[in-house]
Amino acid sequence: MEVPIARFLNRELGMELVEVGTPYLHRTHLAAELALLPEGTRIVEGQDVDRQLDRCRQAAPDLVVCGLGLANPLEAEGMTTKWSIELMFTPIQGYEQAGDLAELFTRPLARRQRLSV
Amino acid sequence: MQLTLWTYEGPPHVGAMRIATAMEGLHYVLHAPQGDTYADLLFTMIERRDRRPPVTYTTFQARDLGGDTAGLFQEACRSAYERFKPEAMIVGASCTAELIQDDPGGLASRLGLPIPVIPLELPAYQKKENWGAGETFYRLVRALARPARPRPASAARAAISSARPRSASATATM
Repeated sequence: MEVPIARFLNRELGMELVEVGTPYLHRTHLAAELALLPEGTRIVEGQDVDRQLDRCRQAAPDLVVCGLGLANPLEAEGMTTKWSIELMFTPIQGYEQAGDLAELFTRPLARRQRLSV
Repeated sequence: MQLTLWTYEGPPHVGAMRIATAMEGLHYVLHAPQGDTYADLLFTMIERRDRRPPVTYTTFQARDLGGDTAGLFQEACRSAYERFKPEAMIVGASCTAELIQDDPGGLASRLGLPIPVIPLELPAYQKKENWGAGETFYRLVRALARPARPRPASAARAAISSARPRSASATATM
């Protein structure tokens, strides 16, 4: 799911992709999606969690899409996160639900804004 | 109605994680495939801790099984020591990694790290989380506690000679 969603975020919502991580990358199945990603996008397969966190902190992105295991620690460090699992159980396919998909990503940014002092 | 194996308690390596998280200066190197990192959320989401538990996973993938998973584990131990500089380490396998039988304890002992490295034998298909926590704590204490002071030899000898009759010396001259 990660690569197609990254493609959507970049091409439809104008998001800059700092890193696209996926547990398993099937280059043949995802060839069409990979071709649509910006040249030189960092794609990481598998996870050395500590090294990935190092890269994340160094990049200081505006939004981190991550699993539940990392979300709260990153929020405690001041980063804005989005639970990746929500992309699994929310209906996000098709044109009718494209807006819902986009809203899943704007919600944490809007929440951060509302809560800032 | 009782539901199946890991509904109420997780596998025993989760109990070991709880011990590591409850202590300072202790790091857990867990030989485990990628998916097992879900266990972090027990601490960061359920318990709402502000940091990950002190666990390093080897996160081996299916394709690694054709290669050197033992080497992966040793490298994970080495880099975990370098990064976190713990006072002691516990090492073991998750339920899934137990199946590939890499012997994490033996592998770690050959690294010659300058800290106590305590191997954990947690049979994941016979025992569960709470047992795993108790066993981990027990192994930790056994490894780190000083040996018990032996009874003074003179007191033991005196107890034996006062109980036995003198005729024992006669048979010895045969």
